[in-house]
Amino acid sequence: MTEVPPPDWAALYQKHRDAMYRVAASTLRVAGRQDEAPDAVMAAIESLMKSPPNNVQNWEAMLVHVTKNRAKDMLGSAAARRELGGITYERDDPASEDVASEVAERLDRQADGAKLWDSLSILDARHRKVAWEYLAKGRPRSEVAAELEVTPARVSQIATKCLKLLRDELERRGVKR
Amino acid sequence: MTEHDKDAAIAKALDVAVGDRQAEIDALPPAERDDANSLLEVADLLWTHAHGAPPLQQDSVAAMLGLVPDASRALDPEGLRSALSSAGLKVSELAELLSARGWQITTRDAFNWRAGHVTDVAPALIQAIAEATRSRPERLTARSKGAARGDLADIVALPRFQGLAERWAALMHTSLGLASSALESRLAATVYRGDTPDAEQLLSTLETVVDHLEAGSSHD
Repeated sequence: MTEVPPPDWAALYQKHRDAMYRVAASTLRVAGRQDEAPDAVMAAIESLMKSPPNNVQNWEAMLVHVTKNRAKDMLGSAAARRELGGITYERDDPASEDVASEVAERLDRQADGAKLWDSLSILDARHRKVAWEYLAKGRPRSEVAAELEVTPARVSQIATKCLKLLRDELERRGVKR
Repeated sequence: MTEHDKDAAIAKALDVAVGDRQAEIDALPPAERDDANSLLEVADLLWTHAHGAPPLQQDSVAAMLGLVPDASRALDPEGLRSALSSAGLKVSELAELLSARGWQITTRDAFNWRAGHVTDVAPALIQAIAEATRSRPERLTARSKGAARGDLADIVALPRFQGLAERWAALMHTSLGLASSALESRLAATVYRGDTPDAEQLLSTLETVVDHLEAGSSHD
């Protein structure tokens, strides 16, 4: 029997690490733990290296799927359940969920995110700063307001205006909801 | 409901924790919710896009896998030329072999390596080049006389670090030099994240990763 060489983990990771970090951050965000995304990504790579799956058709989908599971494991710890008032998170079960479809949809969304990033160029400097610092990076509204020398309420107004402009631009670029 | 009221609800939704956001939108009249949700979707898209991978030097996983170039262990163009000659490979064929392994390498990249125009190649890629040319990584690596990264030099000199590097080299099927480089980068990435470089903590963190991978079992 021909021995299948192990995957080149470094090559795979370099290619797909953005997608892994994004799914980890999105999954952990519900508990306000998005800063722990690196831990989920590390756990995903470790688990795959320890026990490489066979016959993988789509490595990007596999890496994203495993990372999401690791992030859910972090949320599913007893401490996390207490923090969230008893809400539990079931790990994806490939036998009970259309994993490929869900991952594909997530990756399509990430492609839309890239178009959205390009769309920021339609905003003026002030709107772009609010869009990036407040909406994208999630910095406190008061901090962004201080830097722009406006009130926090004004930042909210600018943010809402940004979203409307960006939504229109995405529609113009053919991105469907 | 006025447009101002709706914008106020959206502004509030943007400012609360994401888990509480939907409650703000559900408080809107049904006719307004779809529009509000579409704006929040754009906000979520922006947020997700902004939370991708950090720069390689700050990425502990990238460092561990040998993706951070190490100036003290650069690709040796003479070693590469020799390896290509021994293997009977053209630069285009090397690029194809690496691409087949998942690396995003062009013929121009390989040409630049051979010509010595680019030598800051990541340890993992040097390892891949060695395997593709059926050579040894040591033959492809030019070790400079520079010391390890400033605040990590003392840690890297410890026998415990050397032991971990040997175990990592065995796990990753790479040379001791490239394994040391990867672990050094891993330490540097941890320091970059703002952790203070306590030697015991850093080495224990490395040891946990190595132990884990040596154990060899998974839940997925």
